[in-house]
Amino acid sequence: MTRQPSLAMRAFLFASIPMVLTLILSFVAVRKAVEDRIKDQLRTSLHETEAVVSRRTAESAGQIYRAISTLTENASLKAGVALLQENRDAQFQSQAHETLARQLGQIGTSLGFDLMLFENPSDQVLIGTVGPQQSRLELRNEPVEFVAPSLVRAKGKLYDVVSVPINLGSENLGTLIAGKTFDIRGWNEFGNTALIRDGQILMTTFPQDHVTEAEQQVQENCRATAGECEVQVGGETYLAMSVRQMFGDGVRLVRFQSIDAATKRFTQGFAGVFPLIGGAGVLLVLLFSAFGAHSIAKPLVTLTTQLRREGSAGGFSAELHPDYQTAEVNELAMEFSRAAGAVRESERRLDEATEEFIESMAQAQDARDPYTAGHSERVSANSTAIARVMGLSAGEVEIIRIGAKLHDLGKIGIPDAILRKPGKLTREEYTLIQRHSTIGREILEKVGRFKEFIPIVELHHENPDGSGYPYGLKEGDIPLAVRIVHVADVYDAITSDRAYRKAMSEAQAWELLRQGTGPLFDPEVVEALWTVLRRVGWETEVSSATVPHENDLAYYPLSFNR
Amino acid sequence: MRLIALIIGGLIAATTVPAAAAQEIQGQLAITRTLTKQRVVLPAYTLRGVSPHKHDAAPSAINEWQRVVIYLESDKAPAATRVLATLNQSGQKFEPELLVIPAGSTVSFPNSDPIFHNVFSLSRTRQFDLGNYPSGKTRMVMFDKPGVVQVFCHLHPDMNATILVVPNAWFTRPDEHGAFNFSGLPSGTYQVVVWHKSAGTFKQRIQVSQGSVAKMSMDIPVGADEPQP
Repeated sequence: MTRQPSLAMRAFLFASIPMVLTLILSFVAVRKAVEDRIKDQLRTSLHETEAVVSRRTAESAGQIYRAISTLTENASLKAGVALLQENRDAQFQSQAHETLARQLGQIGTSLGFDLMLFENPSDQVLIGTVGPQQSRLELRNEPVEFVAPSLVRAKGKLYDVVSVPINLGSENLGTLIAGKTFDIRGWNEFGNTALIRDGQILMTTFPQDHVTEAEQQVQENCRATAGECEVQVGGETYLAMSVRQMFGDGVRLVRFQSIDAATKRFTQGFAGVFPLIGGAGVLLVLLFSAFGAHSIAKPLVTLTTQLRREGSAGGFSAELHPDYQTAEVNELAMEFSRAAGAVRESERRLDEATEEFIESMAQAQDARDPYTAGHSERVSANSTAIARVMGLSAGEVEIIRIGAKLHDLGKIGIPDAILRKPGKLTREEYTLIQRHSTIGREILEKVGRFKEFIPIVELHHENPDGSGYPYGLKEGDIPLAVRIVHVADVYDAITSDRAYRKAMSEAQAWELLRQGTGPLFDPEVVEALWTVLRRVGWETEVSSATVPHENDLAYYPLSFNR
Repeated sequence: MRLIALIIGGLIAATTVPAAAAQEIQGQLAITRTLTKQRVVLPAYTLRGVSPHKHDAAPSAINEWQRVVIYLESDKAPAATRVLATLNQSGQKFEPELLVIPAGSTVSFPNSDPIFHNVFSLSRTRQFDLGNYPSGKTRMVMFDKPGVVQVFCHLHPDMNATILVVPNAWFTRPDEHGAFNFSGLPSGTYQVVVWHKSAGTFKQRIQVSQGSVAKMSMDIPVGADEPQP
């Protein structure tokens, strides 16, 4: 049988596991919910920020536009531009260009622009200056690329530009384009920024090894017109938002705000709280479960402990105190008590019946021969007394008492003619008589209850020197109980009348025992018998020439004449 | 397409009438490309990154023929009578916006507005700056060199006029179909110069025979997409 868990363990597991699981799950769920909520809030707030940025960007572009518009409403500038139309002569043109370049340079310097361009009405860039105020350079025959209507590349650098028409009356003379160096880093302090045209990243603050990934993510997740999308770059989640139509023509400036970083900043504060509360909760659940399991199981444990103890002590006491603090357990204890009582009662009856049965068997045996009447009873009494003197346990004493009563049971199988024969026994008769111990064993073997008495019945004619029967066992192989009964049996036999002789006096019998002590009788048992006999106030005189009758030898292979 | 395409074939029909000063040039101009870019107006709210020149201009209100002058260059040209022309300033506008005068003429710039004006020109033909002057006053400038003079007002950047100073008396302006006509010319070779305010000058040489009417046609800009010098 596999080992079963104890009741307390069972109760503990059934109580704690669902609770712990529930607790952990709910904490995980709460944590997730809180994080999601924070994420949502952040997303909203980022969204609003982006909207503000977009609006501000547009507003500032509008302001720049108005500022430049004001400057272009300048008669000198217009007159300078008009000069370009006046004469196509190369020298004249170059002079006109120079004049206009100077004027543009002045405007750029006054407004802090890094790039100033003039486009004629045919969209050709005629004049340009580039660079910061101090080191302003004229662009001469250098290509100016319009990456987008508001984004210009000149001398390898990108400029964020505003274009303002120069009008004269109802006629357009050209366009003034003013720009500042486009610094992609200036757009986002915490996240990343990318300049994207038709899904291709033109410029970005993402580290070099993440650019391809970012591009792929943008193409997958962000439709060209979508104002907002979420991408995963380098394991981080970003909210990507276009700064609205900043450059036109499909060129978007997309700001990537790291939601993870923002969330982390936010959740750092209470990161430890969840595990702490969760851990404390689990601990409490475990403690309560353990306590509960213990208190549920305690009455039963007490009861079973008590029963186990009493069981190992050899029997159940009639009274189990019904004080287990639990009605059911009390009832169980009482029922158990009652059942144990009934068992005990029936055991007692059985014991009584056995006793009576043994008694009657012994008596029946003894009664077959008037000479042996009361023999079993007396042997039993003496053996019991000897055993007590020798300090044997109550259980052993009981076995000796009953075993002694049954020791001659085998004589049932010996014919009366031989048992009661007054005359001398033949050798065959000897042998037959000696079989009684074996017969006794065979009878008792059939009854399980009597097994413990078999050694006494079978071996009570063995002598310590090996001269006994049926096996001729030596001293050490003969159980003490058998040796006790052996001595008591011999003593009673020779102090009783027999058909073939008179009883010996007690003194004579004692002398006989003394002579046989050692080889035939266990010295300690003889000594104990002596104690027993003296206790009953017996005095002995040593007489000479104690000779047993020959017939006794059939029972007792004594050599009294050694 | 706002392309103004007025094509009228010029004809040169040779006549055999032997008249002393009966020779004539009859010409027809065709404008094959938009010469004047319309004013571009962008309200600030449409400005978010959209380049102005990507916008379609409003329907034309400009009559290109009013911006065209034709004159002839020739050794035999008679000197023109010097005139005193007036370029009035009224309603923050120059009136007329295109003035054609022969070289040596004088232009008066009266201020008819109740506000100050400051007329000036950066043109190489004649640079001048008349300074601020109030209502009712005028300033005079003499133009002795032929060429283009663009006139502005420092105070009102949208005020603009052009004075075309032509070398002789042979100048004219096309009618509303682009047709023009010079009559009473001596026979010989002429350079026909067509000037457009925005597009510049276009020249064509023409032979006028005795007693004939030389007919010509001209597409401007000539041949190419870009205005030719």
